[in-house]
Amino acid sequence: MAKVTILGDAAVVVSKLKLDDIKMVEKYRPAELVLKGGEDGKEEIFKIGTVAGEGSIGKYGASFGRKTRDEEEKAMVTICVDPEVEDVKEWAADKFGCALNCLNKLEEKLPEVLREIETERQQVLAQISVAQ
Amino acid sequence: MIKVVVGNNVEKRPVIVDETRTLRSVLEENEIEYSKGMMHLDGSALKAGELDKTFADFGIKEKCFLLSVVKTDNALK
Repeated sequence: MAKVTILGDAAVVVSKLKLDDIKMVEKYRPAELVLKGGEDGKEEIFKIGTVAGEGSIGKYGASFGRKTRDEEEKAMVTICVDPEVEDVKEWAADKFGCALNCLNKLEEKLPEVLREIETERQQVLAQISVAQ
Repeated sequence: MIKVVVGNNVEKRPVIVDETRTLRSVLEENEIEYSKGMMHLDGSALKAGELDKTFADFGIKEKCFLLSVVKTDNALK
């Protein structure tokens, strides 16, 4: 599950997934990064992806641009906390609650997608030989 | 990410894109012909060169309409 850590005026949303893994899925199976719903089940309701900059998280999706500095290199996005807020946990729950629920649903299925992508890549690599 | 209702006079569909994408890239991805009508962003007509700006450049933070409007007033039998 994604986690939110608040320190001072910074709220950091850290995904369960590595930034490089999200990039891999974005490259080979971008449709797997979209949560669909609505009456016919075809409407996009939430999407995740990667960007070159800081990233953002909101009602319709999350864009990750940075990774944690430990060896896990999980995807993360940093948001400024509203300085007027008194109960910062309530503020974070209101601001990110829906996004975190959707992010958790996508994070549950992506490890299997990554395994499939890796299997397919290995099959393709086995077909490539480099002549000296 | 933002929600963009993209389309033309006949068809519109909502898509979710990153706000750092250019308007042109979203139109092309959704196969919207932008050379045959006036492009409008939230009801305002776009000028030449503005399709290569990003949604963030226009201050779009949550959702918007990006539509190609073709005037057919004179298309009478």
